[in-house]
Amino acid sequence: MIETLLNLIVSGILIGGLYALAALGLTIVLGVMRIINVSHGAFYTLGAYFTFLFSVMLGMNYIAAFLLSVVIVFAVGVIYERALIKPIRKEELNVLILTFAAAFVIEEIVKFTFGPRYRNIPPYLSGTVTFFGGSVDVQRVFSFVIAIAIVTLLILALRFTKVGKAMRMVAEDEEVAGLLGINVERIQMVSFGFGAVLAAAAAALLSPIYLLYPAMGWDPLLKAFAIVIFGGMGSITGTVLTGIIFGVAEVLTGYYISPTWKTVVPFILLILIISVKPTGLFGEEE
Amino acid sequence: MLQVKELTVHYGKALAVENVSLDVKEGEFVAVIGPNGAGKTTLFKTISSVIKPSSGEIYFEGKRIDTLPPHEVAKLGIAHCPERRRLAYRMTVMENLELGAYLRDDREGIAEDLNYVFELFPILKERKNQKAGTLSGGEQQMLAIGRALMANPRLLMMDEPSVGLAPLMKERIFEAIEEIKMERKVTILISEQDASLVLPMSDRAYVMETGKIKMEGRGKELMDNDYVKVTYLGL
Repeated sequence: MIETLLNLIVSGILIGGLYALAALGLTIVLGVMRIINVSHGAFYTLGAYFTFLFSVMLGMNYIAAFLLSVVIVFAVGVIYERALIKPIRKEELNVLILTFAAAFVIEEIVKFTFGPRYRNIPPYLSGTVTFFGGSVDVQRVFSFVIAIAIVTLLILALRFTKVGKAMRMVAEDEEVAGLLGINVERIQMVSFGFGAVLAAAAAALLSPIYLLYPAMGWDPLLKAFAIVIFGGMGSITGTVLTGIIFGVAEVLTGYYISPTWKTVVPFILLILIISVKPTGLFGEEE
Repeated sequence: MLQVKELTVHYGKALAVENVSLDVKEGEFVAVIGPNGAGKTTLFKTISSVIKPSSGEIYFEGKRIDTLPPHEVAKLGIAHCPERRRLAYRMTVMENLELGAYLRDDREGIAEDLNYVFELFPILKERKNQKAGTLSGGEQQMLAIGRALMANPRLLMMDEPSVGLAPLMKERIFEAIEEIKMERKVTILISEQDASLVLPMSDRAYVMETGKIKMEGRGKELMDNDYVKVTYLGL
């Protein structure tokens, strides 16, 4: 009984780490650029399909496929930002609609290129490890470890590197960042690229676990929004913790209540926290 | 060093600065005094290129700067300590100071300037690992000035450094500004509502009202001017 519970919590944490990774990309773009990027899920889709292309279709080893996908999505993100976002960034509503439209376009391009049917990337790691008497796939543990490593690196980079500090300055006060000599537009372009990369990395890490299909990005997009708001907009700690909370809540609901309720639970939690604390778990009052 | 020529600036649709000409020579301490809403902040922001003028030109050491983006203006050696501090409140005191030196890579020079800032404002050293948002208003103003000094600028612009501070803290800030004037080879352009604080230490000053320069003169001359006495010095 208690073993089952612990085991479920472990699988929840494993999946939650990947949710956190994807949501973090949204948090960074929101913080540094003050835009809501509805295309975030499309970058997730691209990450999965590029990994599929390189590993399954072209037969590259998984790590190389992962790295290559991430680099390509970074480039796509940077070009996307320069071409589409930068000219209209101050018009919030236009950005919202444009990123929404672009997400559909990317989805159609993926459908056209790879076909509408489900694809899968076979797990490249086999075997299970035992936690609390239950077993968990090595594949999932590996994906989780990589996700947490990326999150940790990102937090350290934001804290200690010059670019990281510049990103935080732009997030706090764009105008003053310019006065200090920070090239705000360049920092925003790079941040957008990183945001896209985090979505792509999460997708690439989940791709041996979940199926691929052209509209696969919408579900993680909504979940990422819920996580960002629940955690408190702009709070990195909040985003990471919420990702894990949501992962655990989903797994527990799926097992103890019903798999149908699983996907709704994060949104119920979101509504609850917002009604108690409108700024989210770690949100600061302005 | 700095020449502002017939500058007109709109803030949204409102006319904020109208046909303003101003110049600052190397080594000078120049003040712009005037009431709230006179256009002082808009003028400063336009010099930093945060706001683009409707007409007129701005030159720094002979180079036209109103067409450059703000970070390029900063690169030329202009540091702008903005009105109401505008710190990175979620970052530490130390990180704010480091960001002040964002464009520099002379480690030794940065370390020297950091020492200078900590000597000028010892409280900042004590609080260096605290978030800027936890500082008092006066301490935040010290940090804003310190951050601008960390750029080791050739022209230091300070926009209303005493605004919102208690009288004692105002004096403390202006003592520090006087020290900076004496000890650093930096040209200073400062705006201030409290003329009694800034005029005595100014080489020259401009009086700005409703977007226009109403008069200009040497600091001491203006202190003896009847209009300035009545309107700004409360005498």
